[in-house]
Amino acid sequence: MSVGNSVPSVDARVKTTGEARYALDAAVPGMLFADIVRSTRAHATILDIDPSEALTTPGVSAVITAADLDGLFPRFGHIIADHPILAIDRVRYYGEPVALVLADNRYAAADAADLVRVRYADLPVVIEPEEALAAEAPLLHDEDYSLGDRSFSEAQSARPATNVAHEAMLQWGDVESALEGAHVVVETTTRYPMLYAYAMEPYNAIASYDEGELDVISTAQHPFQVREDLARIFSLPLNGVRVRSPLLGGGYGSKSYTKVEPLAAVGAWISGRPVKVALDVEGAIHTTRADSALIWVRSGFDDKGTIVAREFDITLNTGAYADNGTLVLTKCVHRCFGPYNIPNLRASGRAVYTNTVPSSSYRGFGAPQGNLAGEVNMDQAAERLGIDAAELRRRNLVGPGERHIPGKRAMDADLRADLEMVVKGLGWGGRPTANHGIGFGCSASDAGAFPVSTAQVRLFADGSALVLTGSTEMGQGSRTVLGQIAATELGISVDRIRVKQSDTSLTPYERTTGASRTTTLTGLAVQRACRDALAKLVEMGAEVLDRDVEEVKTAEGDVVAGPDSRASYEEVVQAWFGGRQGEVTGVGIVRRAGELAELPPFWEIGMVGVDVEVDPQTGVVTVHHLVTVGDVGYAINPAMVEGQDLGAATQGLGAALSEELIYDGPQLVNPNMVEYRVPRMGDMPARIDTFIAERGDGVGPFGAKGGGEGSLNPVGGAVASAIARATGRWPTRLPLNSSAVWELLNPPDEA
Amino acid sequence: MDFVVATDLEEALDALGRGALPLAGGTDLMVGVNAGQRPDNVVALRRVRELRQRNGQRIGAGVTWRVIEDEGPRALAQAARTVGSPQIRNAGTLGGNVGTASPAGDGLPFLAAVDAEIELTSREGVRTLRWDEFFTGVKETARRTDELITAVVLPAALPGRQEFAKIGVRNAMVIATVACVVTRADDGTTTVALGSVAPTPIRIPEAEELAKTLSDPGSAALDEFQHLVAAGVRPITDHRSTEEYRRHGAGVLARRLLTRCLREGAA
Repeated sequence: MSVGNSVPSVDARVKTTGEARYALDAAVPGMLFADIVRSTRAHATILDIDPSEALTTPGVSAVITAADLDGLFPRFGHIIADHPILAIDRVRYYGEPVALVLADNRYAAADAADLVRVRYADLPVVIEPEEALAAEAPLLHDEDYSLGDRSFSEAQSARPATNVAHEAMLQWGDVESALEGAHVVVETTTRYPMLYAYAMEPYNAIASYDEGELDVISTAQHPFQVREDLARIFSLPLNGVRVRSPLLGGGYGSKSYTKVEPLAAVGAWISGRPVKVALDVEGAIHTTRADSALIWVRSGFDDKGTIVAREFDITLNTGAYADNGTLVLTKCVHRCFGPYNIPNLRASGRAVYTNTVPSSSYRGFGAPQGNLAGEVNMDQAAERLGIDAAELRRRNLVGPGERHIPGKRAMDADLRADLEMVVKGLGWGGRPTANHGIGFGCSASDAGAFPVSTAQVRLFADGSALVLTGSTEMGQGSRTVLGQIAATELGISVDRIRVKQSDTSLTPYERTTGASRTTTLTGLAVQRACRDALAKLVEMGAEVLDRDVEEVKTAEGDVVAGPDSRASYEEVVQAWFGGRQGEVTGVGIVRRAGELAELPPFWEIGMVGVDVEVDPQTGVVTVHHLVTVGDVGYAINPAMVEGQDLGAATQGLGAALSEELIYDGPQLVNPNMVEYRVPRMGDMPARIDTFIAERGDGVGPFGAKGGGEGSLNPVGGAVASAIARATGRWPTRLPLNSSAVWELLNPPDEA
Repeated sequence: MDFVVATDLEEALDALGRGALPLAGGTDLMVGVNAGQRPDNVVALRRVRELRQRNGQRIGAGVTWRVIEDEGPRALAQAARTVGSPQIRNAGTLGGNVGTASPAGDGLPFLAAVDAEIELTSREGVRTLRWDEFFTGVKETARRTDELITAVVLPAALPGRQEFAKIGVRNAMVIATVACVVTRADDGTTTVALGSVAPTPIRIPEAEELAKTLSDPGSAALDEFQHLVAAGVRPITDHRSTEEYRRHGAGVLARRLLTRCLREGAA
């Protein structure tokens, strides 16, 4: 059995030696290099763009602006197509692409980009949602760009004549009366920082436009979604656009949907030559970030600590363009209140346009923001009620098979058992030590996205097999795991299988690589494709062995029809086609039907805890111990589950302790990796326990369900509560760096 | 753009005389270049052997952090270990740190604490300036553009006890929020120097005076010492931290380092 074992990543060797080919390594003969002229204003009307000096730079062949895109649909965006490829008459954030310079080499392009003269007339700027929602605020968008895709049905259109990009609301019961009758009502307000999902490979793309076909190699997590945007821009049929995603140097959601692909594509369309666009980290930060959030929550409890009602109000800073911010808000609304039995609920929110970098998906999107408010509120309630924080959760957690959101899938996890793993692992309930605090939290995300996946398995005449999928390998290990699933299903060794991914012209359709869906949904598609291939092989085997189909089955790489009638796969294929030739293709389809009719396809569980120490004099926080639980149903590759959980929790620790994009006036002051501080090895906890819970309760292959985001989601709240227990003061915002913790202990107004 | 790779001091000084910007490890200059600041005249110093030499208390300006972390005086070595990553430490030099004169320069509090001198060489000769004559403001120094920082000269006798510490937002590769060096000689002479809390590295004479009278690491007068340090710094509020936190952190760090020095002395 291949599944269930920590098969080493099939990419490990080439990545270690540097042989691995990323999008950035892609080159096409005759290609031009592009550089981007970015706005130096946060909000302004473009008066004119003068490329004349830039065009005199040796090697420069073109300077492209929005005016050159006549005949194209000039914007992109998968839910709200509000994002201009190049700014049209107006810029809405500092760093927005205004013009594209094409040159023979990237140095000439960069030099010439500095010489493009843009004249602006400034408009009033709004950076914070509070400013953008004010009555006198300038309106960032005045058109309705929504596309009306029903699979994004959560995303309603914008509220006209305001800067609200999207509103979302979830409610049941009667919150007001329940709160009136509550024994205790606890109110909490938290701020989650503006983040950048640092991936080592920044956004890049290379595009060619030949014979009416557009061919793009890029860092897209979701090549099929990018294909849609590109087809719309150029009025091409879907078969006229090819998007390929090779190995990605990290994604974490930040490479979801369309980013720099339209820039490369319009460059190729205009110049007639292949065009490469490759950003540096600063450019990447000026392309997409994650939403900051201001969240207010109040919860009512009876005297036993049972939740009677919860109410949330969420404001997200979604930036200048909607990108995936609409869905981030909807997810935040669904994920903020936690997997508890809540008889009365109202969770509502708004994603607000501001003159900042557009925000989009980042690992767990919506969940970390909402969970900080929801779980800190639970811990404060425990304190107020005089009930142990773990016990309060035990009393309220939804049980296996129960529904905590009406109309959604019943809980496919044993949350109380997961919680015990965390609190036991941390030694919760022991004697408190001065300046130490333990914090933990839980979350359940409606993960998996809309279930559409297809896969093909081609079994060749030599007995080797190829798995084809549109799911992208971005370091998470899907190439390995999908190979393990196919090996087990086909009954052959994993080294007889290769997995080819993410080429919209050659691999079958996959909606997205996100929402922790690959193992579950792509895995199911691969499993079904293998079974389809074997069913065909059985029919062929019956003919070859001259038996009835009912007598034939497959076992360990052979087609078997009784003790003395047996042929290997390759023998069957060769005999059926005649000679060393032919192949069998199996097709696997996953759609919203059968066991996947209910949404979400699975609940992604987050259950983590930390033990921290606070230096009361400096405010420096040391995380001594981190515990994660990967409740994945069945670990197809346990080492990869642990790796995902550790990576997710580490990103959570970054947000909790050190990461924040900071606007000082209209521009970011820290769009670089020195001043935007992701955790490094020296910041890791001394002790890390990554537990795996396997109860076979997932809808995916072998009882698996998704992981990889869950262990990020509750980290912020867990760290905040741990610091509260260490210091006696409740933090209300992240990151809790040394300055912030010291200020928490020494508030300015108490000085 | 003119770009000269100097192979000896003569070539370097010639280039400087023609207005070239000196490029040592490039860990500051190249950040500026990547941010669009394009100098039109640069002289690279990496191949100038004279700059990489160490001779008694004279440390060549081109000596890298990587060398200093193994071979430098205790507190300077401690500071070197907090500079960037190993790759950065293999490129970045002490002279570059001095020349850039960032308020957050990791090596500068030590130079202030031991009253180091900066050796400047030009076509007109060699002059040395004490650290407090050399550093004149935020990224401003008394170096003339035709002068090259050729060495940092430490006093012949260094204090027996020296401690460095900094506070940053994470544990490595971080720009200091507060950095501090405390030194103590056998006769009780104490120096307290700080970085990131004023336009230049700064000493706190009042605190040094008080410290001279202290010998007990548990002394109640340490409160007063901490207060004097906090009162003596001139920090600002920016995106990395606040004035209040830096002022407080300066006092806490100095006190901790002095306590370490006193404990060592007692042992």
